[in-house]
Amino acid sequence: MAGSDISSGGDCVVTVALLLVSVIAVCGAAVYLYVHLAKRRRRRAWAEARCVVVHCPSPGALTPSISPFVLKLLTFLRLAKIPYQLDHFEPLGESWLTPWVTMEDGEEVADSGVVVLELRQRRNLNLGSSLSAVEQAVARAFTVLVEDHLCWCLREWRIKMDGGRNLFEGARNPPSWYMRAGLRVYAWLRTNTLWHQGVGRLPHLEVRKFAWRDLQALSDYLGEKSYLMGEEMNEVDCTVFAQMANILYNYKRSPYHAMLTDEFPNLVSYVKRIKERLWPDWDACLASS
Amino acid sequence: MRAPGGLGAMVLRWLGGGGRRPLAITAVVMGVVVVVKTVLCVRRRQRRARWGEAGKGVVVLHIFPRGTSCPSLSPFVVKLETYLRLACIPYLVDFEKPLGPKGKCPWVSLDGEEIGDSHLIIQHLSERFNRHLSSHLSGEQRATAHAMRVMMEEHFFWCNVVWRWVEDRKCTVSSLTHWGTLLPFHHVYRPLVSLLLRHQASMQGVGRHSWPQVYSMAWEDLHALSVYLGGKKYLTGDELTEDDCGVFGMLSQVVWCSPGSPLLSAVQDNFPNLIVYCQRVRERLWPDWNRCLNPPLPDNSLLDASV
Repeated sequence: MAGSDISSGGDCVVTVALLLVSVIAVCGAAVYLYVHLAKRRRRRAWAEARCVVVHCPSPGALTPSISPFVLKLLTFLRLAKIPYQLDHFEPLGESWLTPWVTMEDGEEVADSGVVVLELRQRRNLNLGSSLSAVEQAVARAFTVLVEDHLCWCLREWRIKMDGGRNLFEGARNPPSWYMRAGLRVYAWLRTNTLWHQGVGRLPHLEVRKFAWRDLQALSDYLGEKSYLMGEEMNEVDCTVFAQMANILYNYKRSPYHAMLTDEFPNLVSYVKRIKERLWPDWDACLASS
Repeated sequence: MRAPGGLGAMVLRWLGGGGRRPLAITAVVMGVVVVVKTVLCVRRRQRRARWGEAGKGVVVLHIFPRGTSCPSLSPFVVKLETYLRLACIPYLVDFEKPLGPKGKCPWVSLDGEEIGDSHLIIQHLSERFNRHLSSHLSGEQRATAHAMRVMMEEHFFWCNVVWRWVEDRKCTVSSLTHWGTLLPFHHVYRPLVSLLLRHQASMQGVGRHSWPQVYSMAWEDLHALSVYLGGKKYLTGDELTEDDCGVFGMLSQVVWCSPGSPLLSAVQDNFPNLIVYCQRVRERLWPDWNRCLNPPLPDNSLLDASV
């Protein structure tokens, strides 16, 4: 009869729907469990490594990392002679920042500045102890100048003028089609970030003048010295080296590369000096194609 | 002959009838938009004409309304106005349109030209009026002063923003201004500004840290500035420079606009030379400080209850 056909048909649909939801829920739970267990297994391995594990993106084609903050941290670890190993499986930590590290005792610390501070305190490092209080204050000011001002000027060119294409130049592999498609979304999001930070509201020529002023300050202060604060290398040199190396190797098409090489040769010599001292294996640390 | 009122009533009946209602609504909305835009355009021209009457070579400084304890709650306004006084550049103040061509405050009009961003303005004015206040410094001194100013403006500024607009549960900023045009500041503008600045601080990076971490970073900045200043009169010695204006602008927000804040306590307890520095700059360039407040205070009144 028609009424019983309709009701049995309706029961069938409900049964199928319930079955589908159950299958999806079971599969979802299985995937979650697998990911969770894999994560715990990785963390156990990192804690057993007995050294600092640095979690960061894969090496770049032109620099050991396309992120100057990763390069800064790795340079610091080499300067302080702290053994470390790299992990590229989870470059973003719980706080969605990179780099982040797993300390020898398993503690996870994010943000390169916080990591450096933590390592100094734990290991009682005496880097910079020969500096006077005024010199340490100046070192702090230059660290902030490079990381919170010059860095944003570079990002302004990369995103607003270059549409983000520069990101792929230092990367390991040529971009796939979905990375190229995602670049527009990324560039739009970062343009929004630049506007909120403030540098994105200014004409590019003015931003370039700001960056030039920063590079001039660095060059004037460095002068003929081997390192920024004198003849001994310090933590601030790791920061400045990372940003200058970023301009020299990953920003070759930008006006800042020509600005650095043509107008501030002492900064270029400074980068080469640190590279020879702390990165004799620079080429081996690059991504092999 | 039909009376004009009858003609109008006929038109209205025709518009409202049948399927012509969407057309009526569209016509009304467009009419309102055209009227508003015309009024705004006319007012904009009148304002520009008024600013043009300031005179050739007179800077018209467009800023937020005055604060109760400091001439402005914006460090960049205090910076720019301090520079104008230091460089002896004539200027007038306008409160009518504080947000300029780049959506930033302060901005200036000079001989019909509009310029935004405090540092761009200072660079432009120093060329225009031939005021080079750092020419006596060595390259190294200029570099260090520049680094100190950038540290305060690009990093410490955001730490202060996090305190003022995110962490300060008592919302003391509401008591430091009488700004409220159509709607009250505390109940409408402050929450909106707080939301926007919280988002901006997060975009910049400082806002992603916890307050103890932000406070620690701010403390390091103040410590570096205090140590660098030491016993000197001003940042680079005995003469004021453009970078002093930037540093003074930032410190004025802590010293006079942050009652009860941990940043003020840090300065009072650990860095007293920064307070002395601020008072010295204020005495030199802001003898009329009390008259620049809202409401104005008598010149001899003791303003600094917290300092």
